[in-house]
Amino acid sequence: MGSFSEHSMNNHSSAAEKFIHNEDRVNWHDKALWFVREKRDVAASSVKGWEELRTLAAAIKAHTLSHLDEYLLQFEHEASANGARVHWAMNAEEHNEIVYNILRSRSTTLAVKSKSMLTEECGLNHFLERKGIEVVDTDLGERIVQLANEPPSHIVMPAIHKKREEIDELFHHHLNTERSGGNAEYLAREARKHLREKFLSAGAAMTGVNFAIAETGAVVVCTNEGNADMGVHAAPLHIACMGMEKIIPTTEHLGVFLRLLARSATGQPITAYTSFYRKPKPGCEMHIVIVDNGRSEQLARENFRSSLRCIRCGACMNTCPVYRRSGGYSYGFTIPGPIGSILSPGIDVKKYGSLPFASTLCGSCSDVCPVKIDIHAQLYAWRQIISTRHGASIGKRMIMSVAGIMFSHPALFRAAGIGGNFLQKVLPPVLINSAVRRWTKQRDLPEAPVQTFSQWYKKRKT
Amino acid sequence: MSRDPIIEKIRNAKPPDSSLPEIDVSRFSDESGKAETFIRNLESVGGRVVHISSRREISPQIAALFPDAKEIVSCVEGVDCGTIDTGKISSAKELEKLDLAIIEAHFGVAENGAVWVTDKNFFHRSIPFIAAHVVVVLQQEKIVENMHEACARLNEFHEGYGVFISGPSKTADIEQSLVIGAQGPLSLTVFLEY
Repeated sequence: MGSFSEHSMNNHSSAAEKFIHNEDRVNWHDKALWFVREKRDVAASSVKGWEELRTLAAAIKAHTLSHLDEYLLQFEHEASANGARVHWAMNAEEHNEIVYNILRSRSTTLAVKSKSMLTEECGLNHFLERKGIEVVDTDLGERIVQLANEPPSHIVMPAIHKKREEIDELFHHHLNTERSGGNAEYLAREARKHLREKFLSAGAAMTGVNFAIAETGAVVVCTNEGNADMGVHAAPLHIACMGMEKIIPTTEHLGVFLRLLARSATGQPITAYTSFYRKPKPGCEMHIVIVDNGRSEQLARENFRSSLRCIRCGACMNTCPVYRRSGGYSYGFTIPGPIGSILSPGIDVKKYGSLPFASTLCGSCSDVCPVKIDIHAQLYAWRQIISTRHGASIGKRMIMSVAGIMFSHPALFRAAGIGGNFLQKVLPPVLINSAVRRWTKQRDLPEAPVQTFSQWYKKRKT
Repeated sequence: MSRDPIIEKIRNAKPPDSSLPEIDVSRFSDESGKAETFIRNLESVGGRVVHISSRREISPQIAALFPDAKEIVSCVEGVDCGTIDTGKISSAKELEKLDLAIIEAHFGVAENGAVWVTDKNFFHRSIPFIAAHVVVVLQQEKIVENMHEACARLNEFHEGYGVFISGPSKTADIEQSLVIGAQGPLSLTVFLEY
């Protein structure tokens, strides 16, 4: 049995420690994301048949995954007939090489890029920069983190962890803006000027893909800022990079997803722009890169393949009590939060083995997921694999097994209530806290009540 | 070229057939007034609505609403307040200082205030994005209820490019503060024709 030390992996709780250190910031981050979650609730409840839409979306994706090879080939056929060039990449390295060769063939020195978590996953920016090609991220949030030399901390709101004063300072340093105390309108206007220069001088525009339609060969990209279109229509070359699970059968099916995506993500009824790129503009080139990079392995895992239904709305992050309080960077994976915690162990179970434990298993992620991925059940399933096959870190394993025994033995649970309260009252905090040190590192146990709930209930009944 | 190995891997990994569901669009119809819903939703995403009963009203209305606009492109037949010779434009760079673009929409969507425009509605794809302000002309009877109806209509379009536009460009990437006018237009006005 290949057990491994905690230090060989990317440990969520130690990474979260840095973030948790600043309590005001944690509260601010928590509130910002909960605000988005509440907007999602309002949007979802205003749609007649929302739950039915989720069921449909899940079934369409499940069907598509069960015929993935056929739909991808159909898509390739249609896209080629439209005049686009389709490329296939087995892994991140091949994806990066393909993109680089296309850019080099047109002697590109500057490329603009709209949001694409896939290119983050593949490490494309750094790869191209090493080859001497400048890449400018054009989504404001992505530009902010790019200037800060950081990865996105959220898949929809990449700079959600940044305070306005920090962005003010960053822009002052890199874009020569006046210090404004973090005036969002001023900073957004300055970014607009800066990015417009880049749009109009770039030799290529790269985009991600939200949906690829097998029936028509179109790729669909959703943005609020208009940055994908500003880039694509100005440059002679468009490269769209997509994970192979982005495919859907027909435009009719797209309607279901477009109703769910923005409402789940930010509470908007739809993004400002939903762009259908079907044919390159006259005299220009359009390339589509289809990427596997571990997806076919995930497809083979019966208990985890439904994670490939994900449409990257980020709702599971916004609602997750752990994500909201530990921040995107604590996960150490391109896709943070609950969905990232079930995708990442499939990529590297040793490196990401702590992530399925970064959850309370409250199930809120599954409740808000627009494609009904049973995220919390998969988190639990990964825990079992990791604990039995690889050996979880002792503290967590102990807590988990104790909790498991207690929940399955009500009498023991009641006794432990008395015992726990009793010990808490008679032992000094330092001793109690050292016993379950990992859990209480950032918290104190609550003060023990004079009687347990069961005692109170029994007394009240009599 | 990894096409064949990827397809092979998928064939070995994919689950057994899962059936494709029928979408019963009638389940999602809420029978609210389409024009009113469209207007309410467009305003909620930062757009503005101007009611007109004739296309002749468009040019004077634009002069009143955008008094400072110098470079104007009109892509709508019968609206001749354009100031730029569109035949000479071949690149986005030449549209850099565009103050206002006027385009026609094929149809609108009540549930989200979006309009559908395609290559047919402009002579350069940058037009709806690079202009500082955008005016969209939409006939009121061309509003569909929701994205199911909208996507069903897309089968009529075979253009190389099309886009649903719902309000002006926007961002909330700085501490969730909404700023209207991100990388695209600063404003979007729909002239709703009755």
